[in-house]
Amino acid sequence: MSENININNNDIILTSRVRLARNLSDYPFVTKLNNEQSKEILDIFRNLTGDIKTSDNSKMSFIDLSSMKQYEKAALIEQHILSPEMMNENISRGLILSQDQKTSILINEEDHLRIQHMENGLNLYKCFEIANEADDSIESKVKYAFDETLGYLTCCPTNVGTGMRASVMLHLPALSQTNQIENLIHSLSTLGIVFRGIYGEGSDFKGHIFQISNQITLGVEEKATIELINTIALDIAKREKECRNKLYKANKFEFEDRIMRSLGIFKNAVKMTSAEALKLISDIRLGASMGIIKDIEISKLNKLMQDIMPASITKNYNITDSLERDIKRCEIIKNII
Amino acid sequence: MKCQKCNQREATTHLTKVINGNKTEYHLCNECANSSDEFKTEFNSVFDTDFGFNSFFGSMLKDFSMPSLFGSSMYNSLNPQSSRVVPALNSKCDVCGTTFEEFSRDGQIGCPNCYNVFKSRLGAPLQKFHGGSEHIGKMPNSNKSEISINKRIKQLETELNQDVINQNFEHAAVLRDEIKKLKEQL
Repeated sequence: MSENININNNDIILTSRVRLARNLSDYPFVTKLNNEQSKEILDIFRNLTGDIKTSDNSKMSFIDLSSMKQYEKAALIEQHILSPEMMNENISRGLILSQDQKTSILINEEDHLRIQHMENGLNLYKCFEIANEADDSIESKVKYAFDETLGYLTCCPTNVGTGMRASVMLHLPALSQTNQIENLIHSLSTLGIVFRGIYGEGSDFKGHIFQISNQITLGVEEKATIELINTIALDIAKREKECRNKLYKANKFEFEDRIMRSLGIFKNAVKMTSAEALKLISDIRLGASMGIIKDIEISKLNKLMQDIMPASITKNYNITDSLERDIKRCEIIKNII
Repeated sequence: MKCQKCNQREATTHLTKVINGNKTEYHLCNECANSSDEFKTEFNSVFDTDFGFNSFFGSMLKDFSMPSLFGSSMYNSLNPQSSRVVPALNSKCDVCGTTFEEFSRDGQIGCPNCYNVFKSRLGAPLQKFHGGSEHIGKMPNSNKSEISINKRIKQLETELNQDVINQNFEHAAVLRDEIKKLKEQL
């Protein structure tokens, strides 16, 4: 029996994110805001932007979302910065974004503030540290809705308490293709962890990208939640590695053939939908992480995963026609690979 | 070009869809594009939403805060004072006007004051959802001193009651003065 192939954790764990939900004490929650109030809140944070400090000294810029086109917002959704809710223009909404785009603060999403920090790979501790610092600097200027027993008050009681959601995005092609996701979803839910596919719904997990995050926010400390998600992410990564090695050993040629065929299509196709591209990137990512494909860096594939999404192409190349976009997608791939 | 849906505003979003060789073009204004499913499926999104927890929580509010549960020990241990004062189903927040019915339908609450108004109905569903009922994490600096004083007062009051039971009146008097001083600080 040949030895196991060594796979890097960060080849499986794409990104980490910590998000804090906060609300001002003197305003209704977002669902009950009138237009006037939503504007006032936007102005409060527009004026505060310069005071928001984090240890990585990111420079923050304020964006009034009404000044953005819908496809520009959609592109930010594809980069996991905005949520779909932010496309809705019924009230004033805004975004405070750091230059490296890792720290972002959503204004008037479901809560008045959603302070979030993202990092590559598994790095929840740093995400929390930076989001927490941003939170401290905002809190010194405004009065948050806070209750001694219930903690930070949020529009939905499912976020009350810490208001914190810690999440990790994982690439799990082997577990997904061997139908082990259902079991994982079930067993993790008993630990208060939500496990779900990122692209697509039901059992059609496009790109085999998944996310785990905490469900519980009340009666638990932030650090404990982060530790839990961190441990579970490492555990799932370990299972994925074992599963990849098992599949590879069971039928090496089948495994390599599939990956190389995907690479062939990916490099040579003339037009491609984003769904197909995500599927192929998943195979190529798997091959690159196992050393089957040697000349493609995983970081390039991570970047491609965002660059090939429809709104990003519309925004970067001013293309609105979907066929033109499918053609452009292949050009982008050829330029990077 | 005018938006082809509302025929009023200027079209700013242009979309071409080709299915089995049939080409359809859309020219929509921002508002109609927002509400258009065609547009939304094209830009199928990806975000850590709360996974529909809100609506689940709404159903839990209905199921777990029914009067039949008020006598249960779990409910009482969570809300010692609340078993007598239960807001009626048609109760309303006096600040934002949210009714309990709305709250349990959407799973979303209207304003910070709603938490006080609906507190007695929230205990059991919160415990069920989170497994905990009391916040132990971070708190705003501005609240810290007030919260720690409140905690100290509660602690001293418990000690004082014990002293009274034990007829330790001298010590009880000391505690009473200390509590009085702390209350003045609030």
